Amino acid sequence: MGDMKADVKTKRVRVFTGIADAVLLLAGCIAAVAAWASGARYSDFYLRSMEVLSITELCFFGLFLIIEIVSAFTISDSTFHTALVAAALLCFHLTNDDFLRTMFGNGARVGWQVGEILHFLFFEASALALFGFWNYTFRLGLPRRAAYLAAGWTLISSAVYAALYFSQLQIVGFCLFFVGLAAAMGYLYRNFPLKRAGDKTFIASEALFYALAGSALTAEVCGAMRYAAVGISSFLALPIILVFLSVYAAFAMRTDREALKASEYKLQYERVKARTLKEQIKPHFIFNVLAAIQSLYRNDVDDGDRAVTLLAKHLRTNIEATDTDFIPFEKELDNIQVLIDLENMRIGKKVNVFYDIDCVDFELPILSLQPYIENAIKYSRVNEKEDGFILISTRREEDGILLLVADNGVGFDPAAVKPSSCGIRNSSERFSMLMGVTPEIESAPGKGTTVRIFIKNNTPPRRFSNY
Amino acid sequence: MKIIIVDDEITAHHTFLGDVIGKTDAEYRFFKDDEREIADYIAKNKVSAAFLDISMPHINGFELAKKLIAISDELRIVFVTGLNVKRADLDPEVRKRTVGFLYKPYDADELRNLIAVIERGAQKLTARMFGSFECFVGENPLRFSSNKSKELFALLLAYNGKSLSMTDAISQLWPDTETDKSKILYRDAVWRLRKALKEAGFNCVEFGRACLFLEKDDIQCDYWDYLKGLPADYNGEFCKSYDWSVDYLSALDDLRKK
Repeated sequence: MGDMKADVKTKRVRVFTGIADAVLLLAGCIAAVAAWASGARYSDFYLRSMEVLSITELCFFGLFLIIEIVSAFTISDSTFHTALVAAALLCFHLTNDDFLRTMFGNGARVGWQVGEILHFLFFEASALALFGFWNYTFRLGLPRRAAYLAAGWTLISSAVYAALYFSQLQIVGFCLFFVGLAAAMGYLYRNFPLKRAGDKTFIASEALFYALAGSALTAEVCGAMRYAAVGISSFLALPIILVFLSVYAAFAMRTDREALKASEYKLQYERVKARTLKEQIKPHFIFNVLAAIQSLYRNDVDDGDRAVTLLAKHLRTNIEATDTDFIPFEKELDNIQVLIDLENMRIGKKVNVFYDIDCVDFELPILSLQPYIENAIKYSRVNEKEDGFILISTRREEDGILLLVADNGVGFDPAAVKPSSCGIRNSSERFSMLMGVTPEIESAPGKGTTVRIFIKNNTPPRRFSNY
Repeated sequence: MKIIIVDDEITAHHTFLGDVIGKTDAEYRFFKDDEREIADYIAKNKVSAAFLDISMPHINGFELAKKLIAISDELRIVFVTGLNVKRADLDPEVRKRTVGFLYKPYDADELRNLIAVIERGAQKLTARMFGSFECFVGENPLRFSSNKSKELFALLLAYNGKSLSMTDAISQLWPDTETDKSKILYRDAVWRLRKALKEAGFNCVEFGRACLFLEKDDIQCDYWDYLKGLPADYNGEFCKSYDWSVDYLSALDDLRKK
C-alpha cells in the first residue's frame, strides 16, 4: 500500500493531519472532562452500542492488518511499514478501555489499569519502531547516539510513568515521552528534508503516527482524571479507520486512472504507428524503383531479378511492421541494407555504408533507423563526395549501448531547419514511447550529421501488441 | 532427382521456376492442390522434394506437408510463399524435413541454392586461392557485399587455421589508412563477411574480440591441399590482385620446385 498516497501533496497532508489530530485531541479531552464533570450515567443502549462498535472496530483493524500484510507480499514491500502501523493499531485497540470493558465488564478496574499501562508501552514501542523504520527506509543515517538518546529517554519516561502511576500523576511520564517525541520530529523536519519520491511513505506513516499519539494522549488524559469515558477510545478509532478506508479508495481510484492513462497512451502510440506506416509506404519511391527495374531488365535479366527480390524484401518488411513493434537490431540492419541497395540501384553515384558493429543483441522499434538513413542518402550528398560515407555503429558501454548513424556529408544547421522530416519525428516518437530513448541529432553545415541513440541497460521495452 | 511443385494456379509466373529448375539436373512436375493425385505420385515415384504453396483453396500447404512426409521418408519440403513465414511457425516434424523457404517473387540464386542443398545435402565451402580468389557453395559463387570482406576471408584462409588479429588484418589490408578509419573499415569488413557466411549457412569463422579464427572442417581449399602435398593446380598465381599475397609466393614457388 505504501506508495498509494502518491497523489497527495506533502505540505497539505502535513497541515491536514496536524489540524485533524489537534481537533481530535481537543474533542476527546472535552468529552472526557464533560462526562466526568457531569457524572453522567450511560444508558444501557449506549453501553451496548459501544460494545458493538468496539468489536466492529476490532474486526476492521484485523482486516487492515491482513490487507497490509498481503499487499506487502504482493504489491510492494514498502507496505511493510503500514503493516507495522496496522499491527500497532490492533494492539492499541485490544488494550483500550472500551474494548477491555466490553470484554471484562464495567467493574473490571484492574483490567482497565493493565490496559492503560500496555497502551502506553505499545505507544512507546511503536513510536520507536517507526523512527527506526524511517531511518532505515529513507537512509537518514541518524547518528548512533540518537538511538541511545531515544532509548534512554523512553526508559526515563517509563520510569516516571511507573513511579507516579498510583499517585494518578502518571500523565507526567507520558508528557515527558511526548515532549521527547515532538523534539525528535522537529529535529527530523529541520535536518532531513524528505524530498524524494519515498516521501509519500513517510507522510503516510507520519499521519498514522499522529493518530496513534492522539489516541494515546486521550487515553492518558482520561486515565489522569481517573475516569474512563465510555466510548472515547471507540470514537477516536473511527477517524483512523476512515483514513485507512480513504487510502484504499484512493489506491483503487489511482489504479483505475493508471489503466485509463495506459489505454490513452496505447491509443496515442497506435496513431504514431499508423502515421509511420503511412509515411513508410512512399508511393513515389515504389514507382521509381519499378521504373528502375524496368530498365534493368532491358540490360540484364539477372539484374532485373535481383532488383525485384530487393523490392519484395523491402515491401515484406513494411508489411511485417503492421503487426510487430520491435525487431532485433540485426534484422533492422538487413532491412537497411535492402534500402541502400535499392537506393544505389536508382541513383547514379553509389552511397558507401560502413558497419562498425560491436553488438547486435538488442531490439529496437521496427523501421526506426530507416528514416535517418533515408535522410542521409537524400540530403547529406555523401555519394557526391570523394570519401563520403554513412557509418552505422554500435558500441557496448558500461551502462548501455550506443547506437550511431553518422555521415560526413554536407550537414545542416539544426536551428535553421524547420522541425525535421515526418519520418524522423515518427521514429523519435516511437523510440521514446516504446523505449524511453531520445535520439539526439547533431549537425553543422560542412561537418556532417550524427544521430546518437543511447539505449540504457535494462531498458524495459513497452509492448502494446502481442502478436 | 525429381521435384514436384504444388500450387493452386499454374500460371505464367511458373515459367520462371521452370526456367531456373530446368537449367539444373532436376526433373520437375507441377501439381494442382489435389491431395490424392500428389500422394499417389509420391508413393509411386522417388521424389526428393516438394515445393508447396501455403495458401491454397483445397488444402493448406502445412497440412499437405504433414501428410506427404508421412508417405515418403526421403521427401523434403520447401515452402513457396508470399507471406512472411518462418521456421519457428512450423510443427517440429515438418520443420525437420523443411529445407527452406522460397519467397515470392523468387530469387533465382536462392532457388538454385535450395536445389543444390536438396541434391547434395550439406554443402562444403570451396575456396579457390590459386589464380584469383573465389569461393563457392556447390557451384554458386559465394556473394560478398564488399571486396574487402572477400579479401579478409582470403587472408583468413591464407592464415591456414592461425588466428588473425585485427592489427595484422589492418596492416595487410589497409596499410596506408589512418588508424581510426582503418579500424572502422576492418569492422565493416568483418561484419559483411559474417553476413555473407551466415546467408550461405556457414558457421566456420569464430568472430572474437579484435581477432578472427577459422574452423577448417567445412572448407575445401586448394592452397591447403597443395601444402599437404595433394594435387592442386598451382601456376604461379596466388590470390591475384591482393597486395599481401606476394609474401606467400616464394614459399609456394619453393614447394613447386620440390
